[in-house]
Amino acid sequence: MSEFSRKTALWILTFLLALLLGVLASLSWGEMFISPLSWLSLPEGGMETAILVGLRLPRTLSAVCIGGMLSLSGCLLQGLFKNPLVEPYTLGLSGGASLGVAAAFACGMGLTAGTGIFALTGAAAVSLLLLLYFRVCRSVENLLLAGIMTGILCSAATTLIMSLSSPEDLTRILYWTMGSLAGCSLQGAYLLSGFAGGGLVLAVLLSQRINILGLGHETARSMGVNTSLLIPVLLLLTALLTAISVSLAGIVGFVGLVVPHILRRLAGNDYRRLVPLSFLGGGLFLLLCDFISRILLYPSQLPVGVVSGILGGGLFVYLLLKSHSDPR
Amino acid sequence: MTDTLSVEHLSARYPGGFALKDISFSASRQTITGILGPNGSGKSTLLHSLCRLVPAEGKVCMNGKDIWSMRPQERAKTIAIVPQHIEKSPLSLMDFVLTGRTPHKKWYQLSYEAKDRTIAEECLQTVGKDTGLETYDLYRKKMNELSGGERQLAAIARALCQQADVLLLDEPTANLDLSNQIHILKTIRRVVLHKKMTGLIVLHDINLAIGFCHRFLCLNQGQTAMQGDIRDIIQKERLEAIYHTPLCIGTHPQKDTPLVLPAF
Repeated sequence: MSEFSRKTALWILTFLLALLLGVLASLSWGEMFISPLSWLSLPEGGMETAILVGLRLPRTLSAVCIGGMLSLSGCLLQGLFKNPLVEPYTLGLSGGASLGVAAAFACGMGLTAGTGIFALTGAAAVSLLLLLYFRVCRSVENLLLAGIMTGILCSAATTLIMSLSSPEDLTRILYWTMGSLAGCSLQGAYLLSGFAGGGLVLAVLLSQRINILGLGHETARSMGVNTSLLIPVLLLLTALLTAISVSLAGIVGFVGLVVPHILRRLAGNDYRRLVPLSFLGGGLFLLLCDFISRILLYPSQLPVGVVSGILGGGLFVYLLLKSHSDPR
Repeated sequence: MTDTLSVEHLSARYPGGFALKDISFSASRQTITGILGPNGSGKSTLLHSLCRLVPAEGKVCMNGKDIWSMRPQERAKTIAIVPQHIEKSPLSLMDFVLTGRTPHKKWYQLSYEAKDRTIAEECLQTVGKDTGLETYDLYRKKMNELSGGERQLAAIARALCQQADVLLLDEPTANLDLSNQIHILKTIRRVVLHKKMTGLIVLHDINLAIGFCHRFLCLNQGQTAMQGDIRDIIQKERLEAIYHTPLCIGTHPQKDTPLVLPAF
């Protein structure tokens, strides 16, 4: 086993262990403490079982998967654009999802499963637009600009719908954009785990190609990498991961930016290591944010997007200041 | 000697005009063809067209096989390019050179085998002979810690790792001091002869080209101005017309080859 593989395995094991501890804490803690030691002996149909399986398990699974998916998307996009400041929302996907939700309310739908489908449709429409744009212009730099502009357009359209909405709908749309993991069912969480797992496997398989892409798209092409295929695949993968996350949990900010950024500093730039770590780190980060959002103002809950924004933004500013004071 | 690389009627366009127009030439194994011409004459575009990095028309064959119709991975096993600007990279020297093995790997393969490492080490030894590269810990020395000349050598080693038949080099001596220029060109000549490759090299310095290339292709405004051996291209009036500057042509005091100097 090479030194690289050994170190990577050590990193992954450390993160897996931390994630396991996080999951245990998230499942045990809440309004009622349910000790992990008693899980196997809980009576079927009891209140504790209902809380554990019906509420905390889907929420914990969703936090890990959504955090992982957003962070993985950020990591892939940063590799694709060769820019550590790109995140999933930069491409206007969150804007598309918000517009979808605003449209759902405008159509008279409440906060139902249909809202998620509208959000997914909005984000998917933006992804398709971006893919079409890439097919025409073939420039990754312009694609980034196009994404930002699409986001601004969607945001303007959302604001228009909001300005015409009733005060109740306005509050609901606003609440949705703050992000929440409360609405996930167990079946939904299992489905989400499948998507997240599939996305992670594909991303890991592509990680060495992303390393080559980092040497420059032209260099990658000269070495036989089919960039005309790889770039759309990466775009589609990140768009799907982000669209599913946003449709289920609303806008959970900063996970896709901060987590890959921190991991890059800790574990290096090799995507074969960065891709799995980003997923595990993102899951851990959002689990922590969700945990804080549940217990900080107990018994009321904070939107998880607020906590992730404050925690992620704070960490980001700290990292920026540190890098300026660091003589390296 | 059989012609191995043949280029027929190659043309490349940019919006509103031609970057290259009807270029035809051939190049044999174990020879270096120097591509000369003023700025904007299409030298780099020619190299990029040959390995399909920019769209172009015409036909490019290697031993009769059409390079352009090959799949990207197959093409990269036939033709390798060393770009003019070698990107700074956080990769270690060894990992950087190993990326040259990409055409020989499947898209999902994450690690390199012992055979790849042996080839990469051999390529690094070939180009790094008598340089600082020999002294570095290949697995710890980062690419962004190397000097410009060392990065250029590493990029040549990476291209050699592709084990291609044709080696294209885009101004490999740009921004290098005199000793590094000579070292790089000597290394290129050695590897082209030793590995039985076909070398095409874009150079601005006519005297360096005379010293290290076997044949020449001189471009002007995207078209072939002259091609052949030294006698075919060292023609004072034509060179002056191509470079738009008066020239003096003398003789190298040691090698008895032509020496081209600007008459200022």
